[in-house]
Amino acid sequence: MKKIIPIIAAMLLLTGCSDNTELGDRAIIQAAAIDFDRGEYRVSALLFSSGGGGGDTIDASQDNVIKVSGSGRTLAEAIDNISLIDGKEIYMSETKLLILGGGFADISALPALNTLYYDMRCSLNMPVCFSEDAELLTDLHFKEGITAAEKPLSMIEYAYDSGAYPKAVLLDVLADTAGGSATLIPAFEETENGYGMTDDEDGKTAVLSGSCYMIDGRLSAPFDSKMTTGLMLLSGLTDKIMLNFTVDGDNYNEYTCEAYCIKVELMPEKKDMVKISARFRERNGAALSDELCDCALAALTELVRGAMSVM
Amino acid sequence: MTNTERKPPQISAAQLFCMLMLSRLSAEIAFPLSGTGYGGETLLALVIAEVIRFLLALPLIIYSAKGNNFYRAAYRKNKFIGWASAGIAFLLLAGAVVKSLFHTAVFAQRCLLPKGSPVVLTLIVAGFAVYAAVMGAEALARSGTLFLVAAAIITAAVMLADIPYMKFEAMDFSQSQYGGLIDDIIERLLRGGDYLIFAALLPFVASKKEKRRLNACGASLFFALFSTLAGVLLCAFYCLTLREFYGMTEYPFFAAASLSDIALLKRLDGGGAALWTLCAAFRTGLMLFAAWSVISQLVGEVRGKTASASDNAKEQGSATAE
Repeated sequence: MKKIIPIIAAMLLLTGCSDNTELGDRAIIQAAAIDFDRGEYRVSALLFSSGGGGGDTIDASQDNVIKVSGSGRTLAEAIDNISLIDGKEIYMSETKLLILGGGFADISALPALNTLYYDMRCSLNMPVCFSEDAELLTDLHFKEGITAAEKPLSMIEYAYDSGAYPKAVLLDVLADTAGGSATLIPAFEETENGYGMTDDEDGKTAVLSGSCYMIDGRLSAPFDSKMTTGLMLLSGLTDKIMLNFTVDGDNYNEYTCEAYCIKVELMPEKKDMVKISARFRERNGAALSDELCDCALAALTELVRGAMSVM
Repeated sequence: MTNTERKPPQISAAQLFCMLMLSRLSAEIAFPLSGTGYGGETLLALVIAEVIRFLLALPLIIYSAKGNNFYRAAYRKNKFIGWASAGIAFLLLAGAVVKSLFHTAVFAQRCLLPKGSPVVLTLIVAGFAVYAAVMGAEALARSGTLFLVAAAIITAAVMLADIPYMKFEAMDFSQSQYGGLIDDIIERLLRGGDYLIFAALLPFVASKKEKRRLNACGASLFFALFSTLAGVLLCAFYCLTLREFYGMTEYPFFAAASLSDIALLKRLDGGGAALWTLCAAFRTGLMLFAAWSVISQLVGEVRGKTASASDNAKEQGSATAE
């Protein structure tokens, strides 16, 4: 029995070798941008290119990414198109970032997301973001990072850790949709202050600009950064933010402090009432005076109330 | 009656416990989730199903403290009851073998080898099960213990790697719906068969006379407790990690394993699916052996009585002739 077990185990695992594919023959998608326009899905994928290096070294001067786009009446057809154009079998299990375009404000993205998980074997922890022009992130060629998706991913991670913008993964979207609730996903927009960040001579780059809700697969209108912060506090997605406030409404006398241990409790019995508690300190960790704390709390309350109107 | 008797195969109570646990957990992980229930409903259905199984098996568990062959004891009490109980057990186990074989092949195909041939996979699992059954109780016991340890390691690795994705507010079951509770309970009961395996393997448990019986009884009680705890732990893990998506996925363990992303523990879904496929195939073999064992024990009892009756008749005949 002891001798036969490894043989049987090997047989079970090796049945896949009858239809094997070499790694070099696979189109490994690092990031995928999906949009829906005029009755068609359009997928732009950043594929890993083996020309960028091999073995233990990565040659940063070589391009290690190829951008390929495909269209189709279904997402699967669009992805198959990419496969035909690139001449390789698509492999999406290592896709690090999914960008949804503005076309999903009118149509549900759920069928596409289900195709990505069940058919294309995307990981449930694949981050999801939004950009009105879905191909914004796939058109930019970030110079930093070994893979093309690394820069936008690090932007999302850092922004989420600092409490500025949300982070949503595929599981969050599918679970929230199953539970009938909305998912807050980060939004990117184009800007021109990233000289050297990308290959673009005008300094064109992408920046996190806010967020939008995905409700039952459809994207809402995007929110700006201030509204995003308020929504994150209301949803409990963060409990610390950097807060700008004025003293006695003097707009020329703005302060910035760190608000932490923020607790926001909605009071269902009293409509539009919310209970907020927080601690405040200066950016360098020094304590804030009582007067400034009161002003900071007022600014925080205003921030949360502004977001309540959207929820 | 032959003069030389082969020593019957013997397994320890601990090995029996390991095999029963592996069988239970394989059904929990490798069988598809048919209900759409989540949270409170799933936990409640699990606990109720375990209680019902325990109550149905209670006469057997009580007997195991006194005797070591349930079907032979029933046969000696009443031949009809003996054959009926063995026959029903055989049919239930045979049905469980077919069900386990089918689900194992589907699990392997859906989670591990989407391009693999379902027929080939079914034949491989069937071949493994037949070989395991032919090798006997001792071989099953040794390999079952090994598989359980390996499966426990990978399951623990998946749980640890998924800690960053756990959201404890998902354990708030105040809004749970209980509409599908009865269906969920029935579906869980139909995944069983572990106590039938216990009854079939009881004669093989080895130890000194009195201690053997208490050990076997103790193994069944420990199994009842730990199978419930393990089921609750798995259910809680799925709720914490997958949240509402738990009810939408066919194989929640596979879905949760795809989340793993810590250091070297990345995407454990492939390795986990491979190991649990092996464990589910082992379960099929174990049930096949149990089905054969139930009938063979009773046949052995009947042949033993027939042989002693004919020996007695020969002795009387020779005494008369003298």
